[in-house]
Amino acid sequence: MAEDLSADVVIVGTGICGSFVAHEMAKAGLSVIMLEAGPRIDRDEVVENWRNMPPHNKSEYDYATPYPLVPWAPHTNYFPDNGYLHVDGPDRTAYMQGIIKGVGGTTWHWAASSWRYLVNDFQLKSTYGVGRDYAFTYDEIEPYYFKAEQEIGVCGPNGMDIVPSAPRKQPWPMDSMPYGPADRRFTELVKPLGFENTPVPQGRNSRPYDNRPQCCGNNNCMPICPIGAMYHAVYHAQKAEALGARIIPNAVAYAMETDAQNNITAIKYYDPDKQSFRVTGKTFVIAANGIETPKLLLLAANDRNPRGIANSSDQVGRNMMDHPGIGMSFQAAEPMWVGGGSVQMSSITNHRDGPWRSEYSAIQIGMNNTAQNSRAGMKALSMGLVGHKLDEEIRKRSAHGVDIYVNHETLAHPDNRLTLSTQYKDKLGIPHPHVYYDVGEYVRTSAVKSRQHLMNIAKALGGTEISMSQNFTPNNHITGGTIMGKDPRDSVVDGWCRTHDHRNLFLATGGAMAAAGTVNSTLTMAALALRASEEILRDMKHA
Amino acid sequence: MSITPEADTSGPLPEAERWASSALTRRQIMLRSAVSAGAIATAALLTGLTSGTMLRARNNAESPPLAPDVRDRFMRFSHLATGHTALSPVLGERYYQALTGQDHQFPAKLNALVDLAGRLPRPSVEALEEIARQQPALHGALMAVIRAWYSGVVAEGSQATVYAYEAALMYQPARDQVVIPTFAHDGPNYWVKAPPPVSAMPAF
Repeated sequence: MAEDLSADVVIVGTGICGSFVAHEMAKAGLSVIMLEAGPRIDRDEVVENWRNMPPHNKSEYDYATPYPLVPWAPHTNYFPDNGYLHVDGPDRTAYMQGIIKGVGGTTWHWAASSWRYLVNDFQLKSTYGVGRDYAFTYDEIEPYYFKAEQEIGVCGPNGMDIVPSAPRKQPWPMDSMPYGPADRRFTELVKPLGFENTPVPQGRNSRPYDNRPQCCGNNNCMPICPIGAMYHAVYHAQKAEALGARIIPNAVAYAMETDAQNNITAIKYYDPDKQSFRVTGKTFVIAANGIETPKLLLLAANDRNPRGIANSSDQVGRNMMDHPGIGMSFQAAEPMWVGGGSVQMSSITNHRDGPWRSEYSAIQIGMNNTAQNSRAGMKALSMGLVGHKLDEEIRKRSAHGVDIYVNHETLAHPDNRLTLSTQYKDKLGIPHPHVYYDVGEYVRTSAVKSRQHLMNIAKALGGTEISMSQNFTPNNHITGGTIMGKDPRDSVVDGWCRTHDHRNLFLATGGAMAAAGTVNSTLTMAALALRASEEILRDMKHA
Repeated sequence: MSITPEADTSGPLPEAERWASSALTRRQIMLRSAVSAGAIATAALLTGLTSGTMLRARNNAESPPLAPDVRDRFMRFSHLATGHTALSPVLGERYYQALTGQDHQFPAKLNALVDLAGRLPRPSVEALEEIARQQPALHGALMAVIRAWYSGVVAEGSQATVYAYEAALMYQPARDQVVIPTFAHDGPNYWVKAPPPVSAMPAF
């Protein structure tokens, strides 16, 4: 197949960052090739796979099994653990991330919480003396945040005064969805404790938007919205395709070629049969998010870049961050009827920022609004009940069951590091990722208080059968592995996501984020991708 | 209920084929399950279409159909064991076969349980469960039948074959308020209205 694989812009990854960049490039009339390691994903099939998944998996929140898993592009699955991502260190449980390889990426099964970070999140080091600063301030990213909110279609609490929150120049594209019974009651019950439970900005339609329907509360956002009321990156992948961008699925990038100026000249990929192909271009973008981006850069080490591409700083794969969580479940004294609306409607945000951040993590507390019926049924059956008592127990648990959580910000630490596994390789011979993870004292100090917060909330709701996770849980907000900074000696990319080492290589990924903040990272990643797109277009004009 | 794995389809099946591939007709579903109209529209999908990769991979070899008297006896016993009569005989047949596959003594245990129930002055699952406790093997078989109808699976854990999701009885007690995830419960913002009392068990 002597095909000319060449484009103005070559993008690795078709998730939200890759698809946003592709869409911007295609709109500007540039030719685009997108390489996606995984297959195309069909919504109907995933919905059906979920329905056909055992109730054990449903009750344990298995978001991976419904998605196709191909041997040439393995991703994580913990039902049971398929061993793709190897984690060690004191907090290994907290980095067992859920990722998807396939066209559209992991926004297939996100919850669509689309927060902006706070002003201080971008200047953690300057403000509180801990962690790292971004290479730009909030004001510089604000317009890209708004553009990302428009592209995604974010509904938010217009007209509400929420403290702290990120200052806005324009309202959210859509107003919030109304709360269901659980969020209404939870808000009332936690208020006396000083907790302000406020609407989450969601990438979900509170009215028809962008040719997609309004949310009908099917309550299955994670792992698949059955109707497309929730935004998925596949929409931008498709928009880019409609404008002429070419997606090559099942194309696993593994190497990069560089010239004497250390510009990238080509990316090489394997097809499922391990046939190698070479793609040339003017500008290259790695948008494979926080695990696969550093993995690829390390894998692609060459003579000129022996530690890995973009890694003269030795920071590629370091500073791995997320929001280590603590979960709690209990039976509330009164019926809450969790499950009305989307799976994440509200959140307690008044601990997102404060002077204590110089000593310990800021936090976000929330109630999970995933319907309790799967868990209620499995639990009631395990109790050996029969007849009316069984039915009553299921109904009672569906009405009274509550899950709450606290998520903690982590600080960038170079020892929290992703490396290429020396033991495990996939079908193509590519090493699996290996991560060492220690949440650090900053988080542990905060967690003592967090556990108390959770207990106080459980008490306020008259909770019984209280159970709290002993270990930290992962939240899939994968940040830091290709960290941003002004100094090329201690960072991988600049404020435009351009690598310090290679003028024509950009990393549009959550990995570029310099501080984890307390909230979901997707909107910020998407804003970074739009910012990078602008810089790439400037390059192209002046090339 | 499609028993034979279909050829791999790269996309969703056309609506007509979906119905054709289901051994349960729309009318049968409507007759056999006391579920809302909204759910009926999609009920064919959950009763066992096999275009999903997972289910296709896990489909059991086809079993010969049950003798009608065996099936009817199992259905009658299932009505007693669950306390509910709107149960699909097609599902019943699959549960019976799966339970027998898991425990070759199941048919004999079922007969013993039917005899035991027949000797009760006023047959009810509560009374049967109490008396069966003295015979652990029979008690286990009774609970296995209940678990199948309620959870939609016979095996445990994450590799179990799924026979029913939306028709699994465990989703019925709260279904007046709690959506069966992925299915439409009602129109947008249905969740704004006040929930029903917990004491008001829906009929199913």
